[in-house]
Amino acid sequence: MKQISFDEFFLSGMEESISPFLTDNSKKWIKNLGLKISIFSAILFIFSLIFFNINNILSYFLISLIYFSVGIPALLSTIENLKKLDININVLMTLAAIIAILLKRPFEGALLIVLFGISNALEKTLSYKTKSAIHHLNKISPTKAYIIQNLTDKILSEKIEEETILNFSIHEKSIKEVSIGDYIFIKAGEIIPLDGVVIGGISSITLEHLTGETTPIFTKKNDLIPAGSRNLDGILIIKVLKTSYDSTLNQIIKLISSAQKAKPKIEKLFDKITKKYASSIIIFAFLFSIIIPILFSIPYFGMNGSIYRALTFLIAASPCALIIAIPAAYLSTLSSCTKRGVILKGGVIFDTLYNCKIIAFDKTGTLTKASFECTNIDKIGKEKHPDIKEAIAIATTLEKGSTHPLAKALLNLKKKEKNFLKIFIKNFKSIPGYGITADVKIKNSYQKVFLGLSEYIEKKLSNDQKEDLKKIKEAAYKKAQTISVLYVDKQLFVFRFSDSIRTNAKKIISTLKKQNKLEVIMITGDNKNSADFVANTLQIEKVFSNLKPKDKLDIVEKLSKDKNLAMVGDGINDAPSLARSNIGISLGKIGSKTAVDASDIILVKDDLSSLPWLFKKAKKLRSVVIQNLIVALFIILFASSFALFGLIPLYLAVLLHEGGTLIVGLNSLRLLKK
Amino acid sequence: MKKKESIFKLIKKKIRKKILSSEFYKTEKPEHIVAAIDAAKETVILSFILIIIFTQINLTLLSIKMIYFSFLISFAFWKICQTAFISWMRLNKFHKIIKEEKYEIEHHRENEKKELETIYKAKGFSGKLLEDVVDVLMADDNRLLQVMMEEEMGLVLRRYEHPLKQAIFSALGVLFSSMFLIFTLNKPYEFFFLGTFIFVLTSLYSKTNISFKIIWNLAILALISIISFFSIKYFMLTL
Repeated sequence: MKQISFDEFFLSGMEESISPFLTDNSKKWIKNLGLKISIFSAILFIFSLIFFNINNILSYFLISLIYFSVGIPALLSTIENLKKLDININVLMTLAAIIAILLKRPFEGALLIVLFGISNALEKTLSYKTKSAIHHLNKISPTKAYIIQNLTDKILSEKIEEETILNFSIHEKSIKEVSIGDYIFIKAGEIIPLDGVVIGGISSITLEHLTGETTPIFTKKNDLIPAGSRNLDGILIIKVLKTSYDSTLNQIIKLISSAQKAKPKIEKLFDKITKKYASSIIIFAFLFSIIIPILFSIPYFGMNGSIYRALTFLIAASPCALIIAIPAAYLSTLSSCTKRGVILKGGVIFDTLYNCKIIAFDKTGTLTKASFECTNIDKIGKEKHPDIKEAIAIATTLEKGSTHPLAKALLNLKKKEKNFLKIFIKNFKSIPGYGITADVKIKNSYQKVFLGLSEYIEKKLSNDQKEDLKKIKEAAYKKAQTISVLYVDKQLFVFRFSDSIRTNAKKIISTLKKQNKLEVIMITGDNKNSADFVANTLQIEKVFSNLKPKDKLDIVEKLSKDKNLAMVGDGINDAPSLARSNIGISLGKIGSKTAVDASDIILVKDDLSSLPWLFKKAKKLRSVVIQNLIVALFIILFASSFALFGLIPLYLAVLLHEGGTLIVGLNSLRLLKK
Repeated sequence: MKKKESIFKLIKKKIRKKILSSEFYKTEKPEHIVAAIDAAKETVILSFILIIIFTQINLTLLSIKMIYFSFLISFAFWKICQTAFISWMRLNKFHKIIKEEKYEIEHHRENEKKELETIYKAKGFSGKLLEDVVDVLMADDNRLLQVMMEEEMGLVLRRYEHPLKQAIFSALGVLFSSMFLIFTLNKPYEFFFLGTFIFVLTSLYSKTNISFKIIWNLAILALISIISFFSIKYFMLTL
C-alpha cells in the first residue's frame, strides 16, 4: 500500500486539484483549472468576434459557451455572496453581465466576465501557493516516536550503547499519544520529535530548522533539546518534557498560521473599497432609474427612459478599468520580475514594498553562504612530520563519505589540493558525538589518530599544547569560527571553519542604504559574536542576535508596525518572521521550502543584487498605477455622467469603458521592461 | 459497553460502504474509458430511435442529416455536463467522508482504535500481534486515515479520474459512435449493422461472460428499436 500524505490536501481547504482520490495523472491535468478555463474562454471570445460577420449563429454559440463556462461559476459565487449580504465586485460584474444580456449586448457582457475570470484565476493561483507553507513544516515534523518500554533509572545510570537499547522493547507511537516522562529513542539522522532532556547517549545536533544555526552542537546527558532539531550522529535517549501540542516545532507552526492570518491588511482595505464601490453603483443605478422620471419629465421606459439610462450608467461605472488595468500594471511588473528571477506572490506586495522604510536580513544562508569553509589550519607541535599537507590528507581520508557540515568543508580542501597524498587507514571507528579515530600509516608504521572535538583529546595534550590550543580557540571565537582538531603522532592540527559571506553582499547593503534610502538591519538567532562579525564586515549598524523564534517574531512585528519592514531570510526558522513582516523575501535556491512558501517574494537565483532593483521597480509601478487610476476614474466619471444625462447610448458607454481599459492597459505594458 | 459501541459504529460504516459502492460502476477499467464507452453506447441507442422516427415521417435526406447533426452536438454537450456533474457530486461526497473520518481520528482516537481492532480481528489477527498491528497503524495519522478510508469505507485512493476528464471522454465516446453512423444515414441497412456492431463492441467491457453480454445487449437494443418503431407507427395511425 503506497502511503499518502493528506496534510497538504486539508491545509489547502480540500483543494480539488490535490484530492487524494484522484489519480496522479488527473491531478497534473487539472492544475490551475480556473485559469485554463478563463484563457480558453478568452480564445472563444476572440473566435466569436472573428465569426460575427461570417456566421453570427456560430458566434452566438461561442458566446453561450463563454457564459456557461465562466458565467455560471461567477453566478454561483454571486448567489453565495448575496446570501451573506456581501455586495462586492463579483456581484457587480455578474449583474453587469446579466444586464448586458437583457439589453442584447451579450458580447460586452462576455468580455466583462472573461476578463474578470482571468483576473480572479490569476489571483487564486498566486495566493494558493502561500497556503502550503505549513505543509512543508509538517513534512519535517515527525509524526511518530520510538518509545522505549521497561527502561529503568538503574539502567539509565549505566553507559548506554546502541546494542543495549536494542534489547529493550521499542514501540512506534504517534507523537500525539506520547506523554510527558516517556523515554524515546532517537537514531542518527532523525529529527527530534518532542522536546526533552537527554538521559542517555552522546551526539551532535543542529538547530537549523529552529534557529537557522547549522553549526553542530555537542549534546550529552542532561542537555535539553527542542523538537525539530536534527540528531547528526550517535544515538540519543530522551525523556519527554512537553507534549506534541506544546512542542517547539508545533509552536513555530502555530506562529506561521497566525502570522499568515494577520497579514493581508492591504488586501482587506482593497476589498473594503471595492465592496463599497460595487454596492454604491448598484444603489445609484437603482435610484436613478426611479428618481429621474420624478424630477424630470423623462419616461421610465424606452431608449431615452430612466431604466435604460440607469443601466448604461451601471455598465459605464462598472470598474472594469480598475479591475483589469490596475492588475495589468502589476502583472507587467510581475512579468518583468519573473524574467529577472524574482517571483512575487501577488500584486499587492508592490504597494508594501513601496512603503518599506527598513530592510532586515537574516545572517546564516542569507548574508552568508551557510556552508563552512576551512579558512585556517594551525599546527601545534614541533615535529616536521606530519606537515599540514599530510594533515589535510589524513583528515579528508577520515571524513570521506561523511555528510557532517564540517566534514564537507574538509573534503572541499581536498578538491583544491594538488598532488594529493594517498593515506592508508585501518581500524576506523566513530566516537558518537565526538568524532572519529583510526590507525593511519605514517612513516611506514600505523599511528593512532583522532579527528573531531578538542575536548576528547585535551587530556593527552602537553601543557604547552593546551595553552596554544586555548589561544587558537579564543582567536577563533572572536572571528566566529568553529574548530575541529586532528591529533596525530602527538602533533595537533587545528582546522578553523567560517561561514563565508556572500561576495556581493557589502555592495548590495551599501546600495540599499544610499540609493533606496532604506535602513538596513540584521535579525538572527545565531550567537552575538558571529552576528557582530558579519555585521561589522558588511557595515550593518543595527544587529539583533541570539534570538529565540518568539523574540525574533516580536521584533519583526514591532518593526513591521512602526516602519514597514521587508525581511530577507532563507531558513525554516525564518518562516514566521517572513510571514509576519510586511514583506517576506526568501532565497529560492538555498532557502527552505517552508521559508519560500511563507514569503511574499522569492529570489529564484539567490541573487541579492535584485533587491535594489526591486525597490526601484515598486516606485515606478506606483507612478504608473496613479496614471492608470486617473485615466480610469476620469473615463468612468465621464462615461457614467454622460450616460445619466442620456447623452451616450449603451454601446458608446461600453466602448468608452473598454477604450479606457485599453489605454491604461497599454500604459501598464511599459512596466514590462526588465 | 465501549466495545459494543465500536462494533455498532463499524456496522453502520459498513452499511454506508455498501451504499457508496452500489452507486458506482464496480469495474477495473479507468473511469474516463467507462464514461466514453457508455456515451458511445447511448449514442447508438438514441441514433436508432431517431432514425426509426425519421423513416416514418417525410423528410429530405438533407433535413435528416441536419437534425441528426444538431442532435449529436446537443447530446455531446449533455454528456459532458451530465458526466462532469455526477462525477463532481461523487468527488464532493468522498471529500465529505474523508473530512468526517479525519475528525473522528483527531477527536475520537479510542473509538478509532477499537474499530481498527475489530477490522483486523476479522482479518484473523489476534493477541499480541493484533495489538502491535493496531499500535503501528495508530502511530501515523496519515496511514491511519488511509487504512480507514480503504478498509472501512471501501474507497480506493488515487484511483478516480477528474470529473472534467471523464466528461471530455464521454464527448469523445459520442464522437466515436457518430463519426461512423453519420456517413450511413442514407443507407438504413448499413446504418443498423454498423450501429449494432458499435453497440456490441462497447458491451465487451463488462465482466460477465462474452456470449451472455452480447446476447443481452443485442436483445436490449432490439427491444428499444422495436418499441420506438411500433410506438411511432401507433401514434401516426391514431393521430
